[in-house]
Amino acid sequence: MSVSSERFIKAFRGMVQEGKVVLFQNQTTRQGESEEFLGQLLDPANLFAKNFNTDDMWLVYYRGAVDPDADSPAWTETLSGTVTHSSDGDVFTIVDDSDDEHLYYASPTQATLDSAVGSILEAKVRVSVGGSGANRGAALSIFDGTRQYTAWLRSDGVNIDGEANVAINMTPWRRVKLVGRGDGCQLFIDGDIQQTGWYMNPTVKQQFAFGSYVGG
Amino acid sequence: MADFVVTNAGTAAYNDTYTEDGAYGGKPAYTGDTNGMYLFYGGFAIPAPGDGWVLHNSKTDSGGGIIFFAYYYGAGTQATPPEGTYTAGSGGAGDADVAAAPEIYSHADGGSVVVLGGEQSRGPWYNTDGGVVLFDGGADTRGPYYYVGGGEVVFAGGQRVVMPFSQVGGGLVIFAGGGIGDPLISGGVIVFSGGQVVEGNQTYEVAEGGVIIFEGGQMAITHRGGGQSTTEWDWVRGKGR
Repeated sequence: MSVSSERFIKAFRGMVQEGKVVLFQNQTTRQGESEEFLGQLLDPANLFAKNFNTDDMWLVYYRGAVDPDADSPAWTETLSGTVTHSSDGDVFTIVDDSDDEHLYYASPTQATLDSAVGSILEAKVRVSVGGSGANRGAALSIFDGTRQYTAWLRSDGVNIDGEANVAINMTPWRRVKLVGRGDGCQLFIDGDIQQTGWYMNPTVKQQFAFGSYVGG
Repeated sequence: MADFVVTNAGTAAYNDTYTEDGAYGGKPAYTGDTNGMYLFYGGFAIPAPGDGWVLHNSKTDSGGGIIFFAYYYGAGTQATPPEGTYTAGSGGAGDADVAAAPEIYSHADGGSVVVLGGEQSRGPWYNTDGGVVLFDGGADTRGPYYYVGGGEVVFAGGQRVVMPFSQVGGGLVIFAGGGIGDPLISGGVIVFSGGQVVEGNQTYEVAEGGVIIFEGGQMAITHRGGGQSTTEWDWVRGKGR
């Protein structure tokens, strides 16, 4: 790596740490996005082969600024009952106060996924209310065209569908990552692996979903 | 042969299994096996006008126009007692539920039972001490299915199979294609060998050292989740690796 490149990276890192990085098209990133961007930018294959493209970073990205079904592109809403939900312009809140109701959102159909390659679904989320026990609560789910992988989130624990509860306090903001590939999947919280499990269902859908429940 | 089962009646004497026993009002009449109450149709006005099916402690005439009977379904001309809720009348507390009694297919000591296409059959099905039960195409069957002490059950295609299954102590259940199942299975070997859709909020459980084999073509879909939760989502994003 040349001296000039090292200077550029050092300067850029400082900008990221100050949370003031401005990306292309005047899009201001948040801290997590900046870290992601920096990580990819620092990859010599991206920086020097000139093949870096922000569009390749995330196939779908919901930022909480509006309700998901009002976002552009819009996520598909599945609502059963009268689940309270709204965005305050930065955070989207779902209050599901009945066992018989649910609300979830499926990403726009722009996702092109390959089970053999794998998929990642990530969210910054906190769960302030949620009953105990595995296979219940809010959910993140990947449909990669072959397999559906689901992670259940509760205020006091998480689990990959079909696996046992892993106790963890989910009331603070947490960065949840579900990685699915082939028959298996893994669940990470704030970068730490919590559980390894199996896919939930076969599927022909290719999308990501989140909400107070995610159907098959 | 038991024909109807009454449950949930507030007057407990009416909770019984009723077997056909003669006729009344031009239709079959039924008598409770244990408590001797009656399920019958008569020339009554219930409440008025119209005739209907009732539960009462005697096969008798109300005299017309009033709710005289312990439980009544309402006006109708059904040839046999309609299944459903019977409203409490005179002498009856709470409402009563009337349902057709299940057929009992008992299959013991080897041999085989074959249900060929197009039938709609209702269990329970008992398959004990070996033998084979074969549902061969098009049948719509409803459990429960009991397989005790071995034996083999084959759903050979096209049928819809409704839970539950109880398989204890070994044995073999084969879904050989095209069926739509919703089973709860424990014990033994279960083979889903192609074509069927197995869907439902069910648990596929193999106890006592059994095996479940999905051999191809079918989809097993699980629905779980639910419960109450309050979540706040700052962002959600996804990508291929």
